[in-house]
Amino acid sequence: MGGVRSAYRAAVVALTGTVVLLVPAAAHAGSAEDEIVREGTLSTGEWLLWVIGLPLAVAAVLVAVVLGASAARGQRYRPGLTWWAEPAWVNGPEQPDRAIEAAVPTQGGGGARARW
Amino acid sequence: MPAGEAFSDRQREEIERAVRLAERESGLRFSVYVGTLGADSRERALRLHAALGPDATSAVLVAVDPGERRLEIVTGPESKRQLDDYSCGLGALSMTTQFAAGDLAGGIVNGVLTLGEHARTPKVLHLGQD
Repeated sequence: MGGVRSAYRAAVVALTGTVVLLVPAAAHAGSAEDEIVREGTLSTGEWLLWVIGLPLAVAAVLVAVVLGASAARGQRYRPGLTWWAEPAWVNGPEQPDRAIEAAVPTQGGGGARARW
Repeated sequence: MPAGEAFSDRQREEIERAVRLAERESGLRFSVYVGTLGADSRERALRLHAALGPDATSAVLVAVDPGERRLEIVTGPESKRQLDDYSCGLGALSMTTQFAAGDLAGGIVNGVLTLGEHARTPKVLHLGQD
């Protein structure tokens, strides 16, 4: 589920970044770039590199930043999804398994229970 | 699903700090378990509480099953005198509100602190005076 969400997010960021960067470049290509090509300062390959390669590189950086930040935070709890982690016991017994086996459920106490 | 750590190091430290504060406030032992509790979550929580050993009678266990979205708070016969069921209910409400928003560690921290506040032993002044 998390993988699908990450892939979806990556695709959206990549697509958006590419479109945002390509549209102005394409609009601009009819004027200044044509002039530059005509003047012979940029070959067609270089021109393609600037117009397509640069936006793709920027999009790749954006994707890396978004996914990197997400990965750095680690997997987090999402209500309603399967719990993935090993049991954690803060201030519990030194040997939990043995203690649980030997334990007789507490009687005469109290407390509360809840769901969310 | 691959198994991993329930909390980051920082989150675990915050929970441990909250546990220490609650213990200092109340004089009770606080323990937090996060994991699967099974079909009979109350029975399992009572067993986990008893597993705290000789301290169990004066201990408070907060058991959270994130997968089943269940919370159990268990007090022993001694700790029940300081922390009644009503106070446990308030602590549970505090926790589940944050759990529902996806903040597991924050809910535990605030819940344990709330329980510690409610279990606080009032300072007795003028004890030696007639």
